[in-house]
Amino acid sequence: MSQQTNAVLPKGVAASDFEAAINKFRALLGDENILVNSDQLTPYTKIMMPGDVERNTPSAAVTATSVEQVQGVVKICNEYKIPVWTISTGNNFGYGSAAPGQRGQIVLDLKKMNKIIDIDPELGTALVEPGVTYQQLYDYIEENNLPLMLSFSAPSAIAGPLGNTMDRGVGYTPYGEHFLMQCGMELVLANGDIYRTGMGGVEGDNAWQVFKWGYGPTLDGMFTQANYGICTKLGFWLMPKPPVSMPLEIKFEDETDIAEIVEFIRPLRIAQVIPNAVVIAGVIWEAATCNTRRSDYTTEPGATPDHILKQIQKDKDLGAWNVYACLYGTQEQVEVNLNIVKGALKQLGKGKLVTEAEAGGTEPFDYRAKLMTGVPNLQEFGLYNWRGGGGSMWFAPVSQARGSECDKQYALAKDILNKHGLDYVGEFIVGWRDMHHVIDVLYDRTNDEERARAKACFNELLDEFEKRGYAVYRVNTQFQERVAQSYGTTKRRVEHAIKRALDPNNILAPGKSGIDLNNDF
Amino acid sequence: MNPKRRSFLKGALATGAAGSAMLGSAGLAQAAMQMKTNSMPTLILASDAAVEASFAAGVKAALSGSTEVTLLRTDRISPLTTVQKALQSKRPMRLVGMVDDATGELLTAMARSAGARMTWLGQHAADASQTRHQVISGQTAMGSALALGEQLQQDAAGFRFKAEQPFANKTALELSAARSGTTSCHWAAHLGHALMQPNAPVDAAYLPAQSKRLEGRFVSFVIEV
Repeated sequence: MSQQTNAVLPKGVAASDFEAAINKFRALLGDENILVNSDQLTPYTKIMMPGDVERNTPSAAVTATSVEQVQGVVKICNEYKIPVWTISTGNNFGYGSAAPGQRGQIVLDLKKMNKIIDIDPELGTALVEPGVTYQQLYDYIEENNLPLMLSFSAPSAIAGPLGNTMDRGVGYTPYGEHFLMQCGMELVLANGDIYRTGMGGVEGDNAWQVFKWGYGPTLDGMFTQANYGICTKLGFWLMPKPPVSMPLEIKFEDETDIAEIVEFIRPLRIAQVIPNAVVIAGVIWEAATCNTRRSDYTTEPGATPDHILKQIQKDKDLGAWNVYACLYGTQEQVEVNLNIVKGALKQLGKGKLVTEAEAGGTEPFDYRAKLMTGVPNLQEFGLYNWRGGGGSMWFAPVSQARGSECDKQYALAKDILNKHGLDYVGEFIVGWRDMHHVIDVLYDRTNDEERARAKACFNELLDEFEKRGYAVYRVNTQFQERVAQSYGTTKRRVEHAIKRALDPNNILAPGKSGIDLNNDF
Repeated sequence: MNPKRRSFLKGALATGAAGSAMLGSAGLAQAAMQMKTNSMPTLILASDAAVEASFAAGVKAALSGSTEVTLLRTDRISPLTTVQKALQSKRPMRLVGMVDDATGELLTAMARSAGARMTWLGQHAADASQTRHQVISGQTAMGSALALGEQLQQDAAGFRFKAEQPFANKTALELSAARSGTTSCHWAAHLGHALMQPNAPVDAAYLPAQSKRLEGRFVSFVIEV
């Protein structure tokens, strides 16, 4: 039996009660599924946020292998008032990774619940457990020669659809708005009940993965980015694999081109000529993902000067902005749409179109092409080597898909980042009518002064964007309370009322998205 | 124990940070565990030639001749498949490495996913005249943390060292010195050695030349399967 070698306790829980709870977890799950030794828990503490590790250190981690065990865990947590932070694959890099939101919470790790329960190649639907990774799904689809294509976030191989969708992550294909493609959840509620959304509550029904709405209130969205239930199964739609996929890149020379790029893309995107979640990536993002490090060009502290960025752009044959889009369909369909894109580009009068024939086999084109055609890869981890030192926070404000908005956001973000001695490492992901402006605030965690700057920078980004009516759609766990404030008191009161009704003991991930019954709401 | 080390430990203990990891029963338990683990097959991961010549050399110097040791250079071969195989095998094994940040993130995630024990996790920065080190120090790693801190005290370059003890109700052990000397790669060799044998001095014959530089950002780790 592994003895506890750490002194971390859940907030407000006496050591004797915690020990009793651990003993019950052992009886329920088996010794091998109870991690209390610091050596076992260290991998759960690898965070990229600026606060000290101790803020997000778990008291224990437990792994469940069945829905019944999840129900049992919830029952024990209620009995001893132990807060539980649930992860699926735990690879939410830059948003908190696998660490709990608050010190002392136990982690419920669902990595061992990793069954692909069903894939229907005719209907293009899937039903999976929390631990299923995109790589696992990809392998299954390939091995069974299924005519389907995946959509995933950038850490695709090791992340999974359930966790990404529940956190409202996005991908790069026509199915890139993952929550939109979600169809049916199974959740273990705080009282141990099992709740299925949509058609899932009807005994014998087989439409759970094809009809989202069911009858009466549709509550699926309420459980995303939330702490009202533990998702143990997720249904979602898969795109039929098109006969032809044509990834494209369009390089733009100047950073001031961003407004015109968006005006060029939006009509094509809304009309579905370009059906995928188009990316407009800045020069550092693209340089870093093709293995360029800042130290290759300068070791001076602070923001990387513009003249160096221009040099990198030239050396690596990148644009100041690099647009990635993909056309799908039959050869005829793709050719028609390609001609429309070419026509629009000609009208724009700038931008260099690059096809796979020209850029295939080179990075970053290859990994972008893979993301847009459903092939998992890990190339984007190169971002972490740009500046190095292990600090990364995603700042992800949303805006309308308008050139003027993106221009404004880009200028503001770059000014604030540079003022704090950090780089603008960003991309815009074009939704149907929105833009996810995703900026990786990269900094060196080994440098206390830089950590403090990164934290101040992130706060200023939130503050200044909010003053102009912008807010982020997702944030790391050290800033979740701050971001919740951006969305207003009424919303928070409603969220806390739901929390009180569904989880009166406040055991499920208190603090997630700023929802915690210890808050004064 | 040599006088320098005794003095260093005394200073560390005075901060209330080091606790009894080295000198108490836990220290003895750690020593016993090291005797056991030092015979485990060991996979060393090094991010490039400079890390191989320093960190990996230190690791090798600490291992007995009979230990099965394999070196993998991550700038030549992606380590993911090899590490995945090692983590999934039932065979007891130790993975010790110093790699870049991207690889460090991935390997930590893989260790967690496999349920492996991570007895050491460190983040390091080495610039021209300063090195910085942040380690997560559990009970079994405190000896290695102290050994690294001790070595840094002897270096010509300035340094900042912080050993967080998130699993203990203790403040982090923090050490620093502002010096104008040039950084060398010796800290990495000593770190490699300290991760295997925190209580023994490194054999100078294994150290790279003092003039060798090692600059960059690194993640160090010890994973036990």
